[in-house]
Amino acid sequence: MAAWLIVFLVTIGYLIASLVIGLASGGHASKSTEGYVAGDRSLGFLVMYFIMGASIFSAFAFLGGPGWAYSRGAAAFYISCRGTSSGPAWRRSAAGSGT
Amino acid sequence: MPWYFFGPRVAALGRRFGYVTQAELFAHRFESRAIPAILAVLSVLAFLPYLMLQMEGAGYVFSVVTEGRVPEWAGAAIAYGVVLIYVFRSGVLGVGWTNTFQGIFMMALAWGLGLYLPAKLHGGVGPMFDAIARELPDMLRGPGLGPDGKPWTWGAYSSAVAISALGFSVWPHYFMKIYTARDIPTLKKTVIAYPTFAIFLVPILFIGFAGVLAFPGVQPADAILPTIVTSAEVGLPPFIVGLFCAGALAASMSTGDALLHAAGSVAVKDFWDNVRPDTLDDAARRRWIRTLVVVFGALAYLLAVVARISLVELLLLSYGFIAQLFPLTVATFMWRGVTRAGALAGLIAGGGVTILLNLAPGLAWGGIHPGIYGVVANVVAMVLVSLATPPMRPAHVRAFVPD
Repeated sequence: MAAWLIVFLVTIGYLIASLVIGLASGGHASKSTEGYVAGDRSLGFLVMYFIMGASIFSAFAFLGGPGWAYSRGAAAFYISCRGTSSGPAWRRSAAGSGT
Repeated sequence: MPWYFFGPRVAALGRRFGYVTQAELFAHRFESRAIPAILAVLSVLAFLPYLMLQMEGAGYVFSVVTEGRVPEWAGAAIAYGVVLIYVFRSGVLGVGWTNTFQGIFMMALAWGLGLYLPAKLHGGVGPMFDAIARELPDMLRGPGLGPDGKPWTWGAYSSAVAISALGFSVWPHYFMKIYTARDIPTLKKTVIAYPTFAIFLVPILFIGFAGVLAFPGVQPADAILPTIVTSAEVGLPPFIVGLFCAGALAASMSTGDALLHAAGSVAVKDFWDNVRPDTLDDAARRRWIRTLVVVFGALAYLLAVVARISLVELLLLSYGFIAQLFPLTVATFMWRGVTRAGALAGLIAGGGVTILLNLAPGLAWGGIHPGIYGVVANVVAMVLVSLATPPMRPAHVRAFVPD
């Protein structure tokens, strides 16, 4: 099998797993606005921990973080201070890459 | 960290008065329909460029690891098609449980690659930093280099950190998750445990440092991670490259899903319900939120991937804007004297100064982030106008600032 196809299939496998988990988790919530927006105020520690952590790990942290370490050295530790994500550096280069 | 102080109070008030969004808290405290409506518009404007960034990231990674066989538009469409389906159906529970899966996945990947790559390219993390310190000492000297490659100033560095730290705790999509906690002890435990998550950024940065000497001259710098992972020299098997691609998508999706969910929620709960009060029953409200999640997703996709519009300026502004919510949040819980007029004046002054200094960066002294000047103007205006206007009813305010 071609290398790129293996890469593609692994990625699709991850996407299917996300979809299944995402669809399966919704069954417990009430069909109300509070259920949809606040999950009936029912989330436990595990899910709360990862919901908060997810806002640290965004596309910016994953691609921009190493990019900063690579081009700006110690400045990259800024990313671990600021926690959240988004950054013009990554936006510009994504636009510039033009693929 | 500010969550440690106000998180439990927000959660308790949310339970008592039924809030599900951030602006509902301010709407109630200041008995205002204008404040939540304005905040909803600003939130969606701040979310949009941020969401576009996540979509572009997803498309970019897909295209790089498949050597261009999956174009960016298709990669972004596949990843965000999945996100839209689970957010539409499952709401915040879908966001939460997928984030848990995605988070565990990313942690494993970050530590795996973050330790393997320095070992493979330099014989370990220690030898890697020794080599960089020898060849490019400026790089490891705090605070590192600015965007222009020259040493960054401490003023610019610390104000960028400060504005992000302040802004981070009050981003609306993030703040509203306070209401999702099962009970106050769960929330407190999360707030205490959560900084451990930042440790997982360390191996991610090691990956970038590993490329400094081994792969000089990569442009743009953000391509360094895909470059290393797909390079023949490192020779990772395709299965691992696939996991890397999935990890990068997980990083993008776990932020994008929360933004989409919040954008739909605030547009209906904070904007529509205040501009046209009492026109929706609960079922219609839920239906509209879900519809708008799809609309905002499609809009961001069209702007980012199809039209390829750059909203860099809006993105810069959005951080400064969101930071203006911080003084309002602190005042809500600390100072009974703050009035509706004071809160509005603070938001307008803070937002105005942030816009002005973004348009005319020359006015911002010392490279300090425009949002910091905005916060200062915000606090001054809020205090002065609050002192000049009659205080709000003590019985009402006592719910927010107890004795």
